[in-house]
Amino acid sequence: MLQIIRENPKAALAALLMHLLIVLFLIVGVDWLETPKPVASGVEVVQARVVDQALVTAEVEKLKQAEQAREAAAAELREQEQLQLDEIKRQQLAEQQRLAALAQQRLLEEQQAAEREQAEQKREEAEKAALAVEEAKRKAEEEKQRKAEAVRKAEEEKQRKAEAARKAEEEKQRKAEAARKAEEEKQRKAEAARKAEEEKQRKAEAARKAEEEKQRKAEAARKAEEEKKHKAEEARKAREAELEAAMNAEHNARVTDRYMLQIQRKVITNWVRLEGSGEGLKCRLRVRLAKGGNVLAVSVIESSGSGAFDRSAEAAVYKADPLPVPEDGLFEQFRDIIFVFDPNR
Amino acid sequence: MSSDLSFVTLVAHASPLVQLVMAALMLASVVSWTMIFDRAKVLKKARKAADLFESRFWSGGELSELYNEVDGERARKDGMASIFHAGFQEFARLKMNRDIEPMAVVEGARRSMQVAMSREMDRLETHLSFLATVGSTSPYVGLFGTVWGIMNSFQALGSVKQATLSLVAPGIAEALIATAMGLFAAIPAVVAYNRYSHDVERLNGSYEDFLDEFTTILQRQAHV
Repeated sequence: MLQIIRENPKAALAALLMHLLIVLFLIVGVDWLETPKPVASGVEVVQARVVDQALVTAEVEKLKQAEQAREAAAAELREQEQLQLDEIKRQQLAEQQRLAALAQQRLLEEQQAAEREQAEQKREEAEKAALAVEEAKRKAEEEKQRKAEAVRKAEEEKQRKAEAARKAEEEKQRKAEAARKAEEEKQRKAEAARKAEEEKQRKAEAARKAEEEKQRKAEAARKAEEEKKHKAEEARKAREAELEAAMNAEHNARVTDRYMLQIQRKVITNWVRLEGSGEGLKCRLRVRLAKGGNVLAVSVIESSGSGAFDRSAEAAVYKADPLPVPEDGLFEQFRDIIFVFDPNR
Repeated sequence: MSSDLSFVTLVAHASPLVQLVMAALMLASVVSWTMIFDRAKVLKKARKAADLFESRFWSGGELSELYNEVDGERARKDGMASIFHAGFQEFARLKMNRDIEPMAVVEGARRSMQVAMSREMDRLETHLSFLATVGSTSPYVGLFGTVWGIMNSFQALGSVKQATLSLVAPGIAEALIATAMGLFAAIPAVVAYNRYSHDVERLNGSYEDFLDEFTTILQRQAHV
């Protein structure tokens, strides 16, 4: 039983899933059925109560009193607000006074600042004059130094020129050397290039030879394969031909037998039984036939022993003319047939 | 006993034997549904394959070509294809030997086809008997669970002086679940068994028809 599940895991999964679904639905569904709906009564209930007139007037009175009390409270509230407003005004006045005092103070501070600025300016001017004197002194010193520097530079220039000349000479020599080396290098490179070229040619040659070898081998393999295939094909064909020939021969033999039987039957049906002739007589007949089964000649090869019987057999063959023969190529076998005439068979 | 009559509590409060019966029925149901799905697939495939092969067979090609095609197919041969394969193979083999008479050749081919056919039928009918078993026995099994559960609940009733309906109702309800499950397992199994056995019967008929037709053809070929 479990083997079924093991063999069809997919179907088993589907079945299991279906059952789980049903169980789940059953659980939920039963729970639904379990909660009965509360039955609602059809009558609407009106909420009503009997009321006393006196109670109503008392209620109205109470409401009025409450209204008055509310109004009194409102008046009180308005008064308080007025008081608060007065207070605010007073505060504003004090603020203005404070602002005036502040303005005065600021004026004072501005005067002080102007005085301080004047003193600062005077100090700066004195400093500038001192600086100018110092600057002049520094410039004279610098001039002297610059002249000494110029002399030194001229000297250096002379030395540099001499050096340059020497360097130019050296440069020339180096260039010549370089040219020679370049020439040598070029020759070397040409040589190397030539060698590389030769090497490449050699390699190409080798590759070509290898390729040829490979092709030759592939060709040989292909030929061998073809040969094999060919042989297999031939063997198959030979087998088939053999089979077909066998089948044909068998077929022919069968057909021939059938016609021979038919011929014998027809001759026997055309045979007139002789009075008094002994049972068990049989003779061998040779019949020559034309195309279409017409009897050309009949002769007794092996007598039955009774001349009358032999003659009656011959007559039967002539009477049976035409004999049934095949129409196609098989007829050739029926041109000259020999069979045993045996009516008792 | 709880007055809650929901499905889960009923199953959970049932006696062990009834629970065992329920579990067995559930298993039987799962297995039979597995079979139902499996057979539906297999039979549908077999029917389709038979139709396809028949149209191929009568499309008028050379028989040996068809044989080579069938022989070359990678997939496992089944249904008519396997019958044809077996018959033709045997025919060709016997025909090679020219000592054997044509009738004997045809007879041999026919026998080999019959063997292939009975193998096919066996494959199609696999497990069908299981469905029949489930269909016929699971109601009884469920009934057994119910009877046992009711017996238990009446025994419990016997020991009290005053019997009320609420005392017996849960016991009977839980016992009846077993019957419900038995029917639940049995009904699909019976339906599926009837359907599938009919399908198999039809397939068998078409296989037999094919076998006869093919034998006739072979007979004609054998005498040529």
